[in-house]
Amino acid sequence: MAPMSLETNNALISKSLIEKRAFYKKEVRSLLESWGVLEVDVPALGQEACPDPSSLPIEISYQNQSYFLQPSPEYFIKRLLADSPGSYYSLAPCYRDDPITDFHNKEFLMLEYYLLGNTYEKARSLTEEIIKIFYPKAHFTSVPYESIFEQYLNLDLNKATLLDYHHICQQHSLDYDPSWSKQDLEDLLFGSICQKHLGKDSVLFVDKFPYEHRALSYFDKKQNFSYRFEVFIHGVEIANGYKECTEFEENYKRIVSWERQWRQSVNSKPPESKKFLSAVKDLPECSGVAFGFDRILMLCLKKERLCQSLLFPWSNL
Amino acid sequence: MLNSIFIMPTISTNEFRNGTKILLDGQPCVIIDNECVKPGKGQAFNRVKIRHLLTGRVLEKTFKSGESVEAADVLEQEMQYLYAEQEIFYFMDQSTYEQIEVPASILKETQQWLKEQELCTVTLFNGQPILVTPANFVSLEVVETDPGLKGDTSSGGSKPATLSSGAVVKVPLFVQIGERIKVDTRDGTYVSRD
Repeated sequence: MAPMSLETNNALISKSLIEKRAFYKKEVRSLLESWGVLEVDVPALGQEACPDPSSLPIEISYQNQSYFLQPSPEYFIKRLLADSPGSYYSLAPCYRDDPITDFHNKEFLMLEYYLLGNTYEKARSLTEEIIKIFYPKAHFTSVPYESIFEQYLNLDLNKATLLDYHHICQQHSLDYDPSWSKQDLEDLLFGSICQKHLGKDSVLFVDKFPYEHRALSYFDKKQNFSYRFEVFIHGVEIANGYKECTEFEENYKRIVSWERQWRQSVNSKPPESKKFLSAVKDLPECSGVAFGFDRILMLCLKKERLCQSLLFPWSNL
Repeated sequence: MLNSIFIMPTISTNEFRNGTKILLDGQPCVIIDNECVKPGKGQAFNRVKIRHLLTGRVLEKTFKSGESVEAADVLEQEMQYLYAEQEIFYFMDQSTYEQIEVPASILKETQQWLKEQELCTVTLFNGQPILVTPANFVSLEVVETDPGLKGDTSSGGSKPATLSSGAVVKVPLFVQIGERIKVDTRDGTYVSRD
């Protein structure tokens, strides 16, 4: 059947894209239902938001109050889990104040699912099953975060000095500021040099993130790594999963640290997290995964830019 | 009136676009490529290709995302070339009739593409001309060249020709003195007869 096009406002919305989006959403919902995960809908507009400056929420002023378009349903779903434990998912738009790139749109469809209980491995399996909806023949590999630096940069994260980082940047003709921390340079090297190699021949799970990258995941002090994984396909980050940290103190420390980073780099007051932190006290053991639906769709449809997998990208509002 | 200090606004990396003019170490630069490096959680960066407007040098610079830099007071104005007198070249803004003087030292090789009454882009930094860019194509008369062999289009050979502006360009053998030719000013090559 020849693809039809609907013309509107100088943009062509392909019928084929409409059908594909509907098909994949249906398949994903069907799979989650078979896993016993219930769909929930949480507000897109909240009074609180995670103050992580790397996922900036979009602030709205309404009736003299500040509200935030949610960069993730995490705050609301965790409040839900604290009230009424269960396995839940949200398939709904999220919003981040990111510049438009080939892989970013300010509004994007986020699939985020939480499995109740000691379910870190189950969450990984479910993630593989979801990926197989888009790539039925996918193979999966898993490597620890540190090994990526060894493999692509010959860098031992535990032993490297700041000068070692400088040498590697110079070797790769990567401009840097000598005042930046090891952490900054690590992020720069990962994003600029290593990432493009990840998930080329098989879908790659990167796990065992070090303490600095724990975010809100559970950090195992004995084994010295976080229960966190990231999934890469063709150099693109598709999903980010954790065994959720349920300790109030740990969550509180992380939020405070983000608020401090926010104040250093953003010209506004960071959003609050009081209700979220209150809910953390009653958060049951669970694992959660944030999955970029538009991104995996973009890759599977062989599009070069995220906007090509959206019906109405930012440029055509 | 007291000397006023004009403070240029700052630009955040989120506003970086190709063509954005910024100051780096006090030097006016233009952004010619901007790549966002965003490794999931953690610090994001902008890897930017920048051209120094005064030297023409291209270099790469990495900024932390969200960092702010000073905007450069750089304007690009379309102006009409009038004439040259004693190493000073005169250009006019066709809407305001304002004229500016550009010394030969600023023009460098661009001098060879200037044709009276033709429009050029004059780049001003803090109100002073720092660069003149001619139109991509200019039509100029051949004032000197070897006759070549009339009708010789078979060998595909070329010969040098001097144009009315002083430029020397390689042209096909059939081009004669007095003919007008179209030249690509970006690489100094013959395009066609006019």
